[in-house]
Amino acid sequence: MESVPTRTRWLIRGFLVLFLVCAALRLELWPLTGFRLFSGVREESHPMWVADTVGPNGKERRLWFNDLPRPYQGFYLITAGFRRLAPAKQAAICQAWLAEARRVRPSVVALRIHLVEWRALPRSGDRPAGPLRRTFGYACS
Amino acid sequence: MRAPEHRSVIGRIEGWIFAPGDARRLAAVRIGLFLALAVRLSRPMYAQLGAQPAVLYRPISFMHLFRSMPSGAGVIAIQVVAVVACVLAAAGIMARVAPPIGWLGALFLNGMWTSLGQPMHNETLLMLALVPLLFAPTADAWSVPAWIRRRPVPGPSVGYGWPVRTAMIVVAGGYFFSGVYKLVFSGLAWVTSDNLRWVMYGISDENSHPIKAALFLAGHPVLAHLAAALTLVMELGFPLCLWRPKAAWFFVPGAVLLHLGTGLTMHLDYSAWALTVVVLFIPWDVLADRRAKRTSSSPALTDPERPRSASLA
Repeated sequence: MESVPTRTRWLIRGFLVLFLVCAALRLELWPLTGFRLFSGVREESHPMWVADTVGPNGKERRLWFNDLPRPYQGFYLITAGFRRLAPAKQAAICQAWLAEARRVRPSVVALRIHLVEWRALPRSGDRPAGPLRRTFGYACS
Repeated sequence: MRAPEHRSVIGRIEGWIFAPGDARRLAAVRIGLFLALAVRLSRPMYAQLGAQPAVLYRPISFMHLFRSMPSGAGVIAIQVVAVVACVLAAAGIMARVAPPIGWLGALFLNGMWTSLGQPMHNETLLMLALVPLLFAPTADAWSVPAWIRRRPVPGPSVGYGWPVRTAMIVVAGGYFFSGVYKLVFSGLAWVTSDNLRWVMYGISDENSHPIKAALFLAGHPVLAHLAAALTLVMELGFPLCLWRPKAAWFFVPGAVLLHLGTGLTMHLDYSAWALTVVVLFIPWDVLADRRAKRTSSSPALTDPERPRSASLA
């Protein structure tokens, strides 16, 4: 009777065990993963990092990282641990963002990063009704 | 005295995985998954990622082998080779070398994407579902070489069953664990609280242009609760498709709608998950038999030994 070769059986067993162990223990050995997708409960209010470009007249304007090329779209991931980074690293990261900001807005003179207390409600049109409480985080020019 | 029971459960699972399968079903999975991967790898984002300043590099997993984001002509060369390999794999050409080359190329390129600082799950299920196919005889049916040599479609064999079923386990497991962790970290509050509304408002407010679909869902609490409940049911219940194939009639369209909804409301591209589910859980061999029956009265076109099922999986 036809049967699956022993080597193939062990290969499949090994792959499935590895998959299940990573999933069950939440190990991130990408592409093996712990499958934590939006698993936490969100609250109506939470702190959120935002970046503003500063024009020559001192006017601040929100920089939307989703509109920047892919390499810069890790803003929210980096800012989550930004305060724990060495000062030199913080400065280098800020300069990298500023350089890209200048590419899309050539007249920009500085970049300011704030921690905003975001609240979902109340709304003003499609955006939260302001003003949102802001704490200065970092700046570079 | 429980060991024999455990052995029998594992034995039954193994019996299912290693049961005979249809060469055409495996071929359909090969064609669908490798074409999906070829399309995904054709996106220009990998070359864009290569332009990332070294200070923004946040590798995970094997990408720690690199000190900064790989860049330059090498990345484009890998992308071209990987896409070509995936297309060849889909056609069943160079069936031993093309699939691993395509998969390894995808591993590297998507590893670049995860190096923004978090595991990008968008491609995970497709990548993992392809692993069993790398070691399987996928090109015995519905392939260019088989067509050129006019080889008849072989009958069911144990070599054709395990790759598809292993991939199905991985996909069902992916959904199941996604649901389990929602319960582990949030409990039923994931559904009963306003969690999904806040997710929708949050994701819209992080975009330069408000996402109307997200705001609509957030503005309708009953709808948001319903969507959250259906998501959890979908994820936790998906493994039922393995046990009761007819359940796929609910879970396959459900998964497609879930990812369509995620795309519309959150602008997150999980189309690779939807495609993987469709390719894996639709019995393409049964559909081919039905089509052949309709278009011809010749019984020689189908193998009478081949098992048929009215269920989706």
